Amino acid sequence: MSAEPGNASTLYDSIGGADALRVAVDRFYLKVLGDPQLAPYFEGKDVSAIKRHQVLLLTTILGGPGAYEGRDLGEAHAALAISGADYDRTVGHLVAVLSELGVQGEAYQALTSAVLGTRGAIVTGEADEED
Amino acid sequence: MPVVDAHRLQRSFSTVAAFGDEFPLFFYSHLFLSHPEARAMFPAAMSAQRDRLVGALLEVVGNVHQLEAVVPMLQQLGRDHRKYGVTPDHYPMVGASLLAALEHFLADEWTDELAVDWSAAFGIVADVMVRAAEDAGRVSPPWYDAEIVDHEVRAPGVAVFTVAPDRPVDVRPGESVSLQSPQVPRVWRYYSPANAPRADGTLEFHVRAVDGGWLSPALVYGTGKGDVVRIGAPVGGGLTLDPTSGRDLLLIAGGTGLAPLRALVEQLGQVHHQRVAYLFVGARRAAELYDLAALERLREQHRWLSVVPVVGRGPGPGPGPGDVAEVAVAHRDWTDHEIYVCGNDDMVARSLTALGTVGIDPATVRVETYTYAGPRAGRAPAEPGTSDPARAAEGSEAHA
Repeated sequence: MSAEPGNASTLYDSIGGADALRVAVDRFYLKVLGDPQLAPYFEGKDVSAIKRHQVLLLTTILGGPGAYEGRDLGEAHAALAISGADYDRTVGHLVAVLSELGVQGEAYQALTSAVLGTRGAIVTGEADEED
Repeated sequence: MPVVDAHRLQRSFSTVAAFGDEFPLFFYSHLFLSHPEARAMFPAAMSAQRDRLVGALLEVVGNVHQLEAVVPMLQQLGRDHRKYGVTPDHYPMVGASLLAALEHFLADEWTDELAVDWSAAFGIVADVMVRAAEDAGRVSPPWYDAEIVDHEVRAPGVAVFTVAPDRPVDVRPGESVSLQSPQVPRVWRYYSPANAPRADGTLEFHVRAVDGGWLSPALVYGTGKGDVVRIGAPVGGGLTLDPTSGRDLLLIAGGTGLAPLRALVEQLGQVHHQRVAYLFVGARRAAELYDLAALERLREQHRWLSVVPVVGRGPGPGPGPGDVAEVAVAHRDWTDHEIYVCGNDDMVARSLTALGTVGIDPATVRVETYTYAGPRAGRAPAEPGTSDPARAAEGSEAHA
């Protein structure tokens, strides 16, 4: 559902603000860390710090308060040699969470298209792409 | 053209159709007993073939009062049958076995009048098919040999591969072609190329290995770079774009049903237009969004394109959370959009239901029309759960 015209509230407010994003990010990491293909990327990492960064990032995408001041996404992921398939799998977990939480319409599209747009910066591993 | 009593013919066919699989079984047995040499033209396993025969007959008989409606389908069928090595001489054998099967199952109800009706109807069908095959024979081969130049298992059970045909295949975006692998002789299944025509003539296919399927597991796991597959004549007009339309587009894909819809997006990318397109890409599991790289490239190139990935699937046969069409209908108002849906039969059925809940007439939604492929027949898919899964797996390995 699109935001009502004349309503100044942001997509961030429309999905339930900080609390909703924290729930979404928690669920997302449950899925990702439970996926044997993806879990190794997080070995030895401070997952709660990563989650905080992600909440801030999603907040920014949805027009919420504050600004993402973490590292550049490309730089942050460069050492991980993330393959295209693993990236896509991760996107899959995220969109599954959005559906489970009933995120719809503009907020859904804003989040998924922002995430898709990071592919080029994040995928650096081999075994990717057909051309 | 002989006058056929449409009502009489349809009534007799419904009697025969009630025998289910027995009817095509008798037909093929009769054909192979009377013409053993014909057996070599058919695959080892015949059940998918039996569905095709019944599907095609249903389509013809249902339209016998307006045969012009099925002429395009019959023409495609005739062109496509060249790949089996079918010649005009084969049609009378088929006609004789068809009449023998009808006579057998109609028993006391079989009359001279019915024999005339059925001969006339079959004569028309054969005539259309033979002529289409002859016309096509002047411009294109019965099949194309195509070398696999790239093959990748992208997600569990899903392969994306590119082939280079030995000569240009004139397939329009949204159409399908049948494929055959050297490992599985005489078994052909329909798949849609995922690309608009390219300068180098290559075609990209997306194939999911269907559990219990004949060809798809071979294409996913048993075929690789350097292998040569065969490609039949293009078929199917259900998903092609109307070039004169300026309406915005809603494209809803489930699994490898993405392929023809991506081809439509690529086609739009090659022309000047004012249309806006939304592509909803559904996958059952996170690991099955197999083509995001290509979709992201298209989205970067085309401002008019939105790509929305969706993962999940509601429990039970009806639409539920995470169902791709369910997410799409919640997205915005799609009135006045041209809507295309492609996926497996259940996905298409669920999508039409979801679209129906927001007032979209399912008859206006563009879906694949392999009208002669049995389980996929027509615009009104069977209710989920009513079809025999083993049959469905064999008959429609595409777009699972």
